Amino acid sequence: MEAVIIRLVAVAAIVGIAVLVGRWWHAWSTQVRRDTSGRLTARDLAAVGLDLGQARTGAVLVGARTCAPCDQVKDVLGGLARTRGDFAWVYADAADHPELTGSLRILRVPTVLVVTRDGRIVGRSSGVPRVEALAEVLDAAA
Amino acid sequence: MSSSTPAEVDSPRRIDVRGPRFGATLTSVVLATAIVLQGTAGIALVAWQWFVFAVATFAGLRYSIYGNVFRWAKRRFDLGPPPATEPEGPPRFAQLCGFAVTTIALVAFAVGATTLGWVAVGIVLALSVLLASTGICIGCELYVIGQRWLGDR
Repeated sequence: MEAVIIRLVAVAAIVGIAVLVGRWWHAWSTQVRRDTSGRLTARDLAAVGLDLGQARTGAVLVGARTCAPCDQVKDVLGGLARTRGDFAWVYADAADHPELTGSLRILRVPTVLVVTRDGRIVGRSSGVPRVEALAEVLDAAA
Repeated sequence: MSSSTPAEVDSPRRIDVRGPRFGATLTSVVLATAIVLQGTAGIALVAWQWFVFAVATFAGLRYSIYGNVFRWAKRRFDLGPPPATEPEGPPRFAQLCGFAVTTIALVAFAVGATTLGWVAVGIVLALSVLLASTGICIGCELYVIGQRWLGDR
């Protein structure tokens, strides 16, 4: 009988830890970090095809063909581009841009890099960012 | 899109995103029950789960046992069209991960390393609960990272 109780407690602990880790992971991957450590050179911007034109801020979505959450991020960025005139974004397949993923240490997809006109990185997310979190970073950079 | 890409990656086979979370819920219930029962009944449940992983991994997700339960539930309870679909590759690799770790567990039981066996089952339970409760699929993440390292698109 005691053994069964110990096993029940063990199962409850495993479930509890998994749910807590999941919540923490979710909170972490929906935020946009104010990462100002890197920049995209003019060459990088040309390689991924980000032409800011009239836009003040832009974003590069680094994704992969088999990455399911990438589609959700495309929806988030597409929605922002429609509602804000000062924002443009592009999709870049990680496999096509090893120089970018290497220099910026991009391990996970989807990764979003928010950049200013001069290529300075002002925000970065790994996962599906909340649209409000992205808008905040764009407002701060504009 | 070259013809040299593996058929599994190249195929447009996509699945309902709700399927893996439904499957992970069943997996969690089976493995949690196994850990509580232990003994012959517990090991039999682990063996069943091993078989479920094996079918999904080697025959493909369209033959997945829990996947078919999900498709039945969708019809029976009229759950509507998929909110989104995803490629089969990453969740299928996640099933392979489950298969590998439950294989370790069964081998451990066979050679008398019972504690090691239940620790392995506990790891699979934790990852299944993570997927079921939050939709985070560690095996899928590993697949996407691995594909990039291998330069295999």
